[in-house]
Amino acid sequence: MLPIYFGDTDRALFGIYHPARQARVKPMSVVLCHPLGNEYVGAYRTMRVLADQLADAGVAVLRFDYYGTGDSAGFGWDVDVGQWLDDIRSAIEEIKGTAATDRASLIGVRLGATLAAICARSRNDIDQVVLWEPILHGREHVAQHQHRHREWLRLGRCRAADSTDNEALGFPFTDRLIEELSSLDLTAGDDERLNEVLLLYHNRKRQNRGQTLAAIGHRVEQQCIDSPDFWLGRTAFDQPLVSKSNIESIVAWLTGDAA
Amino acid sequence: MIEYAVLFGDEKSLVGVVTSPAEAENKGRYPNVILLNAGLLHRIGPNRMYVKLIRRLSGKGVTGLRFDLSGIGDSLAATDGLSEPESRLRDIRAAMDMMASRTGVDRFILGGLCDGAVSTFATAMTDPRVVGMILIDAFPYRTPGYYLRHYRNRFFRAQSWLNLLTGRHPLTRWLRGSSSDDEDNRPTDMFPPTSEAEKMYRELIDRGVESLVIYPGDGTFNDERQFAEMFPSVARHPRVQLEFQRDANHTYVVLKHQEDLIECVERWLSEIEWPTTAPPDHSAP
Repeated sequence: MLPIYFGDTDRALFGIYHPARQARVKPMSVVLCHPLGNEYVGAYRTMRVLADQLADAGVAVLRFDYYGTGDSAGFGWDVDVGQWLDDIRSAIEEIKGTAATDRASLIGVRLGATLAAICARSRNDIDQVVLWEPILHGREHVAQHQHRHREWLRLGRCRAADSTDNEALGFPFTDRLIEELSSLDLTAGDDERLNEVLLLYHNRKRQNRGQTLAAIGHRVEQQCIDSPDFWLGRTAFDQPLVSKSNIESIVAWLTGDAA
Repeated sequence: MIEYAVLFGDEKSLVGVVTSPAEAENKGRYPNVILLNAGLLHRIGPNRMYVKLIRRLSGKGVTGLRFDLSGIGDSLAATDGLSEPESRLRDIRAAMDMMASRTGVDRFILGGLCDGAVSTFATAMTDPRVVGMILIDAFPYRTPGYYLRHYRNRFFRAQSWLNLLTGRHPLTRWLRGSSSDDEDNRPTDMFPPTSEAEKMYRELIDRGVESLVIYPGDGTFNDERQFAEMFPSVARHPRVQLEFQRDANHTYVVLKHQEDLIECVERWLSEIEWPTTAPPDHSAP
């Protein structure tokens, strides 16, 4: 595992590169796309474990922080969705170069899944995409973050009057970002279909809503996994909240190996 | 500002990010700053606060490191069988060794929130290279004054009186003397008893270590006076600066409160004449 900075020097992106730990007949590489805001914190450990498992299976992985998040450059007040899509593109080029693969696959969680799908639609070098609880409508996602922030303020643990409408649980949400996120609609018709897609949901209700994505790829598989919403990080941060078998099944789907 | 990723430690298993100032101005003026994991959160700190803090300090000429202790964030778990406190100490010393080698500066300000503050304190006690500490919500012991202030607002609540009369109230136990003031006012077992913490503070003060002690207003610290109640012999020493951020919470969720904390650290750093070299004896006992 190697921590790196990549991309343009003036907006350097932080990533962790997991080299493949065994050879495969056809080299594979994957970019992991994080969720947003406090969901990123909750999901961090699970993403790491997933990357480790993929590397064990012979897949090179790059998980990275978007501009203005994590350890990447930027402070969060100057971010926009277009930049984040460019960041995914940079990550794809980085992993292809580092792992010497012509193609790559993407795994995105929550908003990361939405951005991964949008990015993949505009490329012809993406084999598989795992959309893990993808955000269908950006407006609802913004509302979720704002709701959680308001609920937290209601607990009275700090002076609520010092909070603004441009933040949610410790992360900035500028007017521009709110507007751009709100315009995201993964269900809007798009002629460009992805290749192979795995849609993952954590409950049947959300899976039913996700039926609108049934045609997002030429081959789409849906799975409902029995797991808490790990991106909310409501228990420990030192262990993944997704079971080993669930992670193994994701790895198996990507690699085609038996779980 | 220049940032680069590092892998260090005996087994190259510790992941961190070094932030260096872009200009050479103030080079050598300040110790290196190392921020330590808050609980199990990875090196960016609660709500990315460590990233923002270290980057702001780099504007003053400080070189900083945020990294993950073994088994936290991206660092690999230790395999040498050391206890957790021993492992943390080993990792933090490795961080200081690495930074001293890269920067030529062998004195350090360690800092962190909660667990990070405890690790800071423990390392400072054993390593003379530590010349400053930033302790965020460390050792918030409940005092009688804490209880009086805490329950003042609950005076008219029926449930509070019920708890008091049925002996379930912590104040009842204290009044009965059925708990040791020294032992049971610890918020958690990770903190030493108050008297021991005070003794440790005095040792560090005598050694010349500067401390910035920050308490947010939620949790078990509810008034500036509480610090003097906890540590009467150190509270007013010039080397200990207390900052009570009443409006903030434990993890600084509100951005304005993060900014208040960062400004407080910047001021403290600027006001002190830091030693230009570490004390001569680097060997740990």
